Amino acid sequence: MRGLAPVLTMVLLAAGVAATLGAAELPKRGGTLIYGLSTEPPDLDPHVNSGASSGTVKMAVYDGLVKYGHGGAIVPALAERWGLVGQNQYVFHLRKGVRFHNGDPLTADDVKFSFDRILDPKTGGQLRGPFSVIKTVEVVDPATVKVVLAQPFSPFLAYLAMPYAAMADKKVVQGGTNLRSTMMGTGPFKFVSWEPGQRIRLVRNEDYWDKGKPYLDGINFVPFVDDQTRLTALHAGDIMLMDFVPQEQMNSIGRDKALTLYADVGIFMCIIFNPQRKPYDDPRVRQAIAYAIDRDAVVKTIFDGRGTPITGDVVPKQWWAYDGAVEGKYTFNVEKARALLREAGYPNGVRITLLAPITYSLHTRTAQVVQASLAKAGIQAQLDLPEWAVVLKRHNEGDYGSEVRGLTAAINDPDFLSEFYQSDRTTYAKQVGFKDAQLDEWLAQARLLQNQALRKKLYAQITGRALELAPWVYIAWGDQGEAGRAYVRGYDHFPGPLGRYAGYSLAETWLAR
Amino acid sequence: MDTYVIRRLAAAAGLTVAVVTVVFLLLRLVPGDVVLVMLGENEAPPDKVAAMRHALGLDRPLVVQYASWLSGALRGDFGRSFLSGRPIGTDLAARAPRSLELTGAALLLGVAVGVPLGALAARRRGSVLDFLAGGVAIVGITFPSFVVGSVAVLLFGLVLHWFPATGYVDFRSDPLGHLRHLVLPAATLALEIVAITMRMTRSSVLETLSQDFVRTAWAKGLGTAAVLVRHILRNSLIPVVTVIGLQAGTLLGRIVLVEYIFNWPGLSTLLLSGIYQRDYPVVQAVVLIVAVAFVCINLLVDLTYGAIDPRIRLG
Repeated sequence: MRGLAPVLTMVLLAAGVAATLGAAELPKRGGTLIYGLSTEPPDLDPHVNSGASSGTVKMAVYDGLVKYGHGGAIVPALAERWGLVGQNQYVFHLRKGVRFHNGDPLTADDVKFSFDRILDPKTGGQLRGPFSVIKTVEVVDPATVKVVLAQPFSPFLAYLAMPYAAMADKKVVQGGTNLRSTMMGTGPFKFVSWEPGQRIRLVRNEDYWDKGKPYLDGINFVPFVDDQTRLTALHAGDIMLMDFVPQEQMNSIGRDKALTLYADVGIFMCIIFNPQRKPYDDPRVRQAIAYAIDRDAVVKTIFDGRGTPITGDVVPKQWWAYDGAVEGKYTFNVEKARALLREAGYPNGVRITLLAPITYSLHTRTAQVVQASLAKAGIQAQLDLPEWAVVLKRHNEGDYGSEVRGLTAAINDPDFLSEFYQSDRTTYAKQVGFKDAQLDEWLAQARLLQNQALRKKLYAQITGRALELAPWVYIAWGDQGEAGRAYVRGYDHFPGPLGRYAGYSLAETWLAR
Repeated sequence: MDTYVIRRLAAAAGLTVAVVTVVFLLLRLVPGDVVLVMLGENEAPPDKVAAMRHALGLDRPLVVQYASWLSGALRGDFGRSFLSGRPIGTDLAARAPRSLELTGAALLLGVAVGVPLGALAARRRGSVLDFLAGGVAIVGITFPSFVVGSVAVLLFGLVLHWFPATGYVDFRSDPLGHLRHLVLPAATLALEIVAITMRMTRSSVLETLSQDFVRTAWAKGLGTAAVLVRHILRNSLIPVVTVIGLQAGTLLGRIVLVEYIFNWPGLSTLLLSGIYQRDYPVVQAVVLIVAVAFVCINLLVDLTYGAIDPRIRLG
């Protein structure tokens, strides 16, 4: 046996070296990535949110001042560095020598113009709400921009890293170019053409500021109408990467050696209520519903096991702001649910309607599982399953009782809770008519604080109170993500809900074949 | 021009207008609002919704909307998509030829296989060939195209890798690739046409075979090919032409599913997303194009009858 030891050592060493070499595999240049999109982008405007699939295309062509990088960290993009003066003035120093795809140099004027465009109501900019905190944008010199906020706003950079804060070419836009149908950015890829229904063609930006990148010669984004067709195309190798993998297919893709699955928690299912209607106006009824949902069953059937029940706080467990204190508040408990209903004056149970769009199987199936589980607690839910367009109409007219939604955290900061609990936020609190003065006050305070420990304490208070009021009933977080052929390398699905910004990693994506 | 042609033309025009009008009205009866779809999960305050509806011209009386749309369409201006803001004409110009190509290829393939197969099956009635052709016909008629398409994708795309499973390549950039992508969807669509034209040709030829003039042709000592093609087929074709015409019409419906399965970027995907998102002008434009195509095909069939059989013209 002794004689074998050196041999073994050598083998292990060799294996180790090989593994290290494998890990440090050098990116290969060349090749065109064919990316199967779940929806054809309705438009290409960088500042408008026209769906996550369009967002991916925009991230490949445009850059912002900062962006999300590996691990979801906020990293420099067009701003080489920045500083915080006082508590509310950001000074951004632009990278030198950056040019738009038409050769125009990027200057502080373009940055100011882009902020103005986002804030202009006519644009319909996604970030107009959070950016309303901006007081002025000043051009200090051609390479320096100062953004003055009306008050301290800790999640500012998190919003700035979203693709909807892209920098556009002032000259081009003022020259009358329509950014809805063509693109002009500073990003890793240049827009070539949009052949409706067929593809959006991009080629490598040879003059990209991040030298040596991108590795791909180009990207063809091919839109699909049917998910099953898209999966077939991936299996057949017609496409190399696809977004929004149907959850029920994730495990089988994960097992397939020819494919790679990039997925992480990205969407949570919840029930929203119309508090103007009976019996949804009574918090005890909403709490009873929260107790009567078998969340494990939802995770098992809807997310094929790839999810986590939300029994407390909706803040994802991986975040610094996660507070375990409320964990386990709403577990499946038929007795508690019945008791609450009795207390609320419904000793014989209650009938509710549950609205869900038939357009999305995730929503429809959640509604079905929830219906079965509510029945055990004497809550008879009648399912109402029209198309998405009809759901939106019903919702807008207040013509619904309860409704299944699949939502996410827009940013990697607990301030996303404002969307759900702050009464004047148009998505979503104001829509459902939820208002609580105490929560409004705490949310405003938490946004001003710079100290993370203090913020965490305040957010724990916020989620605690919100769970008592139960304006929403949270069900479960589930995985969301992309899948690709195994030879696609360098692509990175950022952790948690930031996975939606994985399009930023297309600059580092390459093909090993 | 003779009255037969004029009558048919007038009926065709009337039918087109009727279809387009009904679709226009039906679309507006379906619940759902494009403005709310555009706003998505954002808040939709009444004044904003009203402003957007105004910008799209949706606040005008229905009659006015209809008249302005129709007058535009007649001049070839289909307006702009509510959602993308792109002129619909551009999208139609890119997509309609692709659907037309697929329909044409399927029809051609179907007839080119179906008619000779039917004639041969009739000529060799009771043979193995007749039996096999009957089997093909049963499969082609009973299996809906989405089943045939899915099986074709699975077998020829995923398992055997003979053809690409999905997609489309521009002919100008890659002619061979273009044709390779065309094979599976065209064959899927063609199978039913093969089945039906085969059955029709077979029974029609069988009927003609027993006619006196055929016996005379044989008696004259003409060769098999001459009798089959010049005397039998020509006289058997009227019902076949009818069936081909009808098939071309139903193809326009079946193509929706086939384009969907193969992700063929024709009119169907435009139509489907238009319907889901209540993008009225897109749906109207596609329906108009399809209605015109359907009516034209029927007109062509009617006129062809007249040409083949003068009794129809005079009747």
